[in-house]
Amino acid sequence: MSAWQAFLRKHWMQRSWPAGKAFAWLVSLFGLAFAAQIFWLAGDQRQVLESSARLLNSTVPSTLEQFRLARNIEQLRLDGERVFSGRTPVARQQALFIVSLLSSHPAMLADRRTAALASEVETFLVQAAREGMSEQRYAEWDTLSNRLSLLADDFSIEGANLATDDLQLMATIMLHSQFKLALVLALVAVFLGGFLFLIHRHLIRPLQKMDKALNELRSGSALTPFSRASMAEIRAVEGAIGQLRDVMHENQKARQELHVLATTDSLTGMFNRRHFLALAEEEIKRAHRYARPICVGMADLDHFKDINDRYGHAVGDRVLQSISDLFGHTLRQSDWVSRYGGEEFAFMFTETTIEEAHRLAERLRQRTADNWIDLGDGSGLQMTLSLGLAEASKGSLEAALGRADAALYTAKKQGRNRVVIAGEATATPRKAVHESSDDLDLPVDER
Amino acid sequence: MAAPLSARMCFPAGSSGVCGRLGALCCAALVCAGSAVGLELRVAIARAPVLETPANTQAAPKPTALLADFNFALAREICRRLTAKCVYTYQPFAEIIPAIEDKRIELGFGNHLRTKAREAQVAFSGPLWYSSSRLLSTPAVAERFARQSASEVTLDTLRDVRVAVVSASQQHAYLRSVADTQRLQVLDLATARECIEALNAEQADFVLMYGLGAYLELDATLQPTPVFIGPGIIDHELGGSVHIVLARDDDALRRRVDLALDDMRRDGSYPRLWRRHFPVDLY
Repeated sequence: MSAWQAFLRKHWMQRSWPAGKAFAWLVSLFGLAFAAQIFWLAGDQRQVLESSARLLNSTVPSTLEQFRLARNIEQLRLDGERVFSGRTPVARQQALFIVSLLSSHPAMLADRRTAALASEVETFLVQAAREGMSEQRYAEWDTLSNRLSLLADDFSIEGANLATDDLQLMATIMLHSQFKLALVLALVAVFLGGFLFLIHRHLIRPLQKMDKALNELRSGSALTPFSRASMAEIRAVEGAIGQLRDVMHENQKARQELHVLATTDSLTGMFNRRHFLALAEEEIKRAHRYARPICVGMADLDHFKDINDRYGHAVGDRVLQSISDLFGHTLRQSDWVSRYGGEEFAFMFTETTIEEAHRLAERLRQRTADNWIDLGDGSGLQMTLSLGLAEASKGSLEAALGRADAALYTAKKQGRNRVVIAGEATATPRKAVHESSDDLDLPVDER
Repeated sequence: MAAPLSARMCFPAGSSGVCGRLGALCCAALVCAGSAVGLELRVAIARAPVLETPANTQAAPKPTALLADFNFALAREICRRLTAKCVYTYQPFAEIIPAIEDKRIELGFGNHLRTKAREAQVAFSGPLWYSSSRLLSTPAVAERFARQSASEVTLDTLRDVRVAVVSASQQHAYLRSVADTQRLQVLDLATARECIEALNAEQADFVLMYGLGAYLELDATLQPTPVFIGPGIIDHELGGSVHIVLARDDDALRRRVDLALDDMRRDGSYPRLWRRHFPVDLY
């Protein structure tokens, strides 16, 4: 890119122009150009008017005077002929009087050529009348007569030329005006075309892009980035749309965070009790509608109060987090678990029979027992888990959870670290559960 | 003048209500009609040598009265175009300008050349026609002076001669101004006819007068016939445009007269009027 192109891009193309100012500049430019053209045309019009006035006030009277003078010269010639050809002396004398009168006409005297020739004619004719006519004199008169005719023709032609010159000048001016008018119309067309182009490029097209961007915002799809607009106002609106997009994005994020806060337990990341109950209620309804198997469970960490008392709540929290991680790795994606309260957890096993739930719970119990919880200072501890399971395919969620809780109570009562199914008297033997764990629908990495 | 007359007719003293509103309307209409012809003008025409009062007939004038007849016809046409009621009188040429100055007449048709001295006295219409002055003499006198003079006899070369002019004319004013230096005896006469008669009667050696006037006064049947001496003269304000004269302070009338003249030129009535009286075009 050459230096001037870089300069142009920096100082002109990337510069934003307020629409009103840009419009005012364009209108001013157009107005100036148009006014200049109008003044240009007005000059021609003034010239035409001046030429018309000159033609009317000066040229036409001058032309008429020239024609009149030519006519008087011609009459001088005719009366000169009558001096020679008059039938009577009185007629010839009368003709001579007229010759004298014409030769003393101020218009004749005003022109040097005419005055000289008229005086010569008068003198010649007076002399001829006094001294008598002869063939020689008539031959001389013939020469004078021809000169008078030529002079009359000259004045006629000069008179005609006077008007012709002015009319030709006016015709030339009018022709120029015609070209100038065409130029003015071309200028108007160019400016109008330029206006339409600029309006389309800098106003209509950015508006179309903004409309598209707003539609994208409405639909939630990714926003197409704006090209840099030239109009400051358009840039401002594009900036506002970008800000709106950012705000909407932040709001979405905040809404999601609020949802997480409202539905999960902040310590363990599990569903909280309220959200779990709402989901479980819907799931049980669905299972009842389609007669699908479903189970619920209640679990409680054994002797967790002693951990808190012995190691403090921080360790207690660490234990809960570790257990939460363990649950996440052990349970299937379709299984739901929530921190039901303190060290107590609630489960829902969808599309799962009580036998399958039992095997899953037993595996969970076993892994909990095998889980070494690192306390960070080189020491660690192991926890056990007691679980109560209940069939939820019939009856309400509350009733099923109540039965699971009763089973959990039974497990606790029977010595903890065991799984008890509601309605069954004894806990499932731990070994048997271990042996059948391969049949469960476990995560791939846990099998 | 017509308006007061109408007012008196409708509202005689002590008879209020006699005409009533209808009468008032009639009077108003009469006043309006009267104002259309309300302009009254006294017009003076340079005195013709034969006629003592203006000829109102269509009879062909005598050649010597052609100029006065032309002026009278022109004055009538202008009055008609001004919708003016005109009263015409013939007056000697010398009395026309004083009469204008004294407000005894409004328009003067005396074939007046426009000169600086006259511009101080009267106003002028647009030009009527163009004139030059010429010297006239009898052939015998012309021949005698031609023999005496080495060059052509002109106004400037005249010495120790009697020259007849129309009184108060520009020719008269000029001759008076050079009479002493050129040792001229100036005979001021009332009319061009009298000047020619003085020439024929050998009371004057030369006559200085405007060309058209000389042409009209010359009689081709007379023997010997007076002849023109020297070229036409337009210097010393002895030639130029001829005008109607009118009061200097009556600019409105001057404008109206000029408009009437322009109209006559445009519609061709002025050239026709001229051609009806004169054989050559001098306008």
